[in-house]
Amino acid sequence: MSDIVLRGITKRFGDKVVLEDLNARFLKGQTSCIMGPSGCGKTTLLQLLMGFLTPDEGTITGVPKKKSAVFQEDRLCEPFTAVSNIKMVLGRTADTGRIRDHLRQLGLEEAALDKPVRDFSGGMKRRVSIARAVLFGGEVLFLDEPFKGLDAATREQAMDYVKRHTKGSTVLLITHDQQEARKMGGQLLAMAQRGEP
Amino acid sequence: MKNKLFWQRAGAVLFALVLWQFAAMALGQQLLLVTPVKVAGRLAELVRESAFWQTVGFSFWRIVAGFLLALIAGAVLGALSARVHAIEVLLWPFIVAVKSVPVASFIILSLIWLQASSLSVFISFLMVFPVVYFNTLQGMQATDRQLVEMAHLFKVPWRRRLLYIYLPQLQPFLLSACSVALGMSWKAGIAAEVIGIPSGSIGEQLYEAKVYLSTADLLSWTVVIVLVSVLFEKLFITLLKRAFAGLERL
Repeated sequence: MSDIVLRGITKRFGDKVVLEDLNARFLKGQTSCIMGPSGCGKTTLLQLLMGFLTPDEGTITGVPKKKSAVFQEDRLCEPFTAVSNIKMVLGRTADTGRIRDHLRQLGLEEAALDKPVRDFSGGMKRRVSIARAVLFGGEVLFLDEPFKGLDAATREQAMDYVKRHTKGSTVLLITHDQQEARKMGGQLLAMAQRGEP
Repeated sequence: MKNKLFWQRAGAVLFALVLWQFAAMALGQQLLLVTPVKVAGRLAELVRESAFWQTVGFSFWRIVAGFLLALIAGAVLGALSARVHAIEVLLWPFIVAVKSVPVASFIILSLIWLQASSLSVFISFLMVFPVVYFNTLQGMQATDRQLVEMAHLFKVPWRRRLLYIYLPQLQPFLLSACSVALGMSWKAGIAAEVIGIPSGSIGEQLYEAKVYLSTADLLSWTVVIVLVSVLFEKLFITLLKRAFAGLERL
């Protein structure tokens, strides 16, 4: 596994150029925070790195095969429980005790763990998707505004949880919040709207 | 609320029966319309005969076999068509033909191709297949793309994708398809038997009732068909709902 390197990346949707000649290097085993105003192409960049989009120009190298992510949306299977949602990615034989322990570390109450996630609040769903991404243990973890919608105390708890369990992994975090970026540490990539400095 | 609806419907059925009784009495022509009391009496005689149950069993297993085969084939091909566009395009003329050709034409064609005893299996299959196929295709196409992307990123194997993403998504589509198709399979299956007259079938009994102008027999067997089809539909839909509920407890 090596650094993730982007060289001359350009991405267009029709006539709209979202990313233009973007060059960046995300260091292996470190956390990188990507910041920038809405619409500057942060999520598009993550989608390119996850392999859901292909660049119109430029190359991306060094993205490991085993990827994990907290998407901007929760992307949970609503009829299933929190534990089942995590078992979906880990496999049916995954250690249930460990999954429950991780969910509790994120402040989810024991009684909630066996309820379908469709009955969960937005913040609870968010924490299930964070636990899913962390427990999957990818070589790279993409976090697209993972703490959005959490109250201050829960956000702190969730940030501590992610930091604790992703030491030594490559983490790419998209955030609008400078405090969040400071807390998560690592290098910072500031993106600007096209045409702005 | 559900209980109230049940009693309202029971009242409506009773009203219809009373109306039927008075209409038959006013007409006074047993050949044209027998009373529901007479039909009930004839039905009571029929159920005491072992041949009655053999006849019901003969038609039941064939129509249900056709339905189940169509359910499996429709679901599998519907799912494949949603994944591989070429399959959807290749199947399109067959599905459209099955949907638009009158069932009587298929029955007569089938009489040339098949034995009369297999007729209801094939006709029931033909009626159910397009309904299940289209509903499955629609359900698969309506699957949340973001969940599919998530499963792709986490490299979730296809079996787990099926259990967690596709089957819950297909649930309302399959339940609706089965509910519609079950009634169709009985109507078409019995129609095929009336034309093909396989020995020992309900269709043969209806045909004989027509030949001997026995309105009581005709209506008794009609009641049997309605009862068996409604009971089977309720049982099958309940089992299907339980299977889906069991899936969510995974």
